[in-house]
Amino acid sequence: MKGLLLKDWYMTVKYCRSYLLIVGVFIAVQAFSPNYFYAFYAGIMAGLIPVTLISYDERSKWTVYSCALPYTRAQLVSAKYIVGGAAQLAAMVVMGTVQAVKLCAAGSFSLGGFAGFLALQLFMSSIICSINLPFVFKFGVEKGRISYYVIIIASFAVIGAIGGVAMISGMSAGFNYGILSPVFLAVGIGAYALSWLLSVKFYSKRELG
Amino acid sequence: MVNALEIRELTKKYKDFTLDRLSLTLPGGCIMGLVGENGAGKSTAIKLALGMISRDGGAVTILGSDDPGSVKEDLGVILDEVGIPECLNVRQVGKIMAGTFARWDASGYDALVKKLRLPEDKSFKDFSKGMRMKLGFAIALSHGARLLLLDEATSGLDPVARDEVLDLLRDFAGDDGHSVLISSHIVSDLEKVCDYIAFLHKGRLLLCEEKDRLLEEYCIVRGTAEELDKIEGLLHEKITPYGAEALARRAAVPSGANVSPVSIEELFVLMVKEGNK
Repeated sequence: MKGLLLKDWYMTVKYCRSYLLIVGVFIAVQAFSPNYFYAFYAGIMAGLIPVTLISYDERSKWTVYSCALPYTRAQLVSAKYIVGGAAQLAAMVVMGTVQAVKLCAAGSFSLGGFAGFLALQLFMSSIICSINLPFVFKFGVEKGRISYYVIIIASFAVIGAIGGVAMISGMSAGFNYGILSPVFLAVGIGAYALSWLLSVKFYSKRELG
Repeated sequence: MVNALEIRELTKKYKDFTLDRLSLTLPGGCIMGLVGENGAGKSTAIKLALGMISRDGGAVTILGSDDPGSVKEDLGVILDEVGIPECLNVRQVGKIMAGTFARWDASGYDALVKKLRLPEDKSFKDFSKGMRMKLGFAIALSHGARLLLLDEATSGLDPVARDEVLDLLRDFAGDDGHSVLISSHIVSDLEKVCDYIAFLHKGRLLLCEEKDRLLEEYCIVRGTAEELDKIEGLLHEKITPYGAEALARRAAVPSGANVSPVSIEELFVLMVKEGNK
């Protein structure tokens, strides 16, 4: 498992620089933006890193070769979920810090609202990753990409709707998302865990070769 | 000594191809060459043995275990494409494999990298086919494997690189209890190093025999068409304006006949042609 994570770390550093750059831009924009759109987008980008890594794995035939190494299929899947989870958490920590500083500077920080913001961000990034990965592990990146586009379009619609509702009701910066934070958190983590189990099941039966 | 690999009635059905009840045994301490044209089923057989794809029938025992997953620490595997991510260099690959294999021999790996003249800082994407295969060998030979499974590991290599790779195989097999299954359609390579030869054709095993016994058992017999007609069990008779020649079992050839030794490559080609009739 250590070898798998080290390999994914090397690949993330090499191939996902553009993601990190985009996330950095969104964080910077978020610092001066009145709504939360960019904060959520950074998390979503982080959640897409595992799919990018799997895509490169398939292209290099690592997907096949790794089955000859002393790893179980469950370990091969788990490595990607660990990388995805770590990337999402990192995005949440950075974006959360930016948001906390921004709210403190404006004198509008509330613990409940901030917790809700973090829970919603984790939910958004987790849900994208959770829906996407089982498709990719079952069908491969090429066929799984169809689900990717559907999910991206749907998630933007959801983000837009949430942003729209918040803007219309004038609550974008002030709405107390804390009310819903336990739900966001439970659904986000639950979906991720379920997705992990599904991916292990799918990948265990997939023909590699 | 335990057989390194036992395959019994192994079957895999695809829409346009069937690996049909393949059975073969690789004794411990031996090198077996799996010979076949492209699409004969060599890669399918190796992937089935490794559990990469599901089988429709039959059984596989590797190093005494029915579960290939339980013996992967003891297997060195090189597939037709060495599946190393393109951005990695030799040093990074060494660190990844150190976290992969319990018995990883870092100094052995470094020595092989030097011996094979692999650049340590160059990305895998810039490696030639020969360098890629050599890196595959450096990995496969650096974690105390007892059985090497090599799928077309010499294909696409220049003669010098192929010779180096065959030397590595000889060194590996020289150690007690080390075994190798190597598939290739370059029969001359296999003839140089193998103890056993198995011929696969269109998903079926044509034969599996000790190489020396094969060379003793078969010969090329030449003469007129009438002379060859008197010999029983001829395989793939070829008649030309200058005479006739055929593959024959030595035991069936009358003394005094014009015979010459057959190479494994000739034997394979003639058997496949016979099989295609």
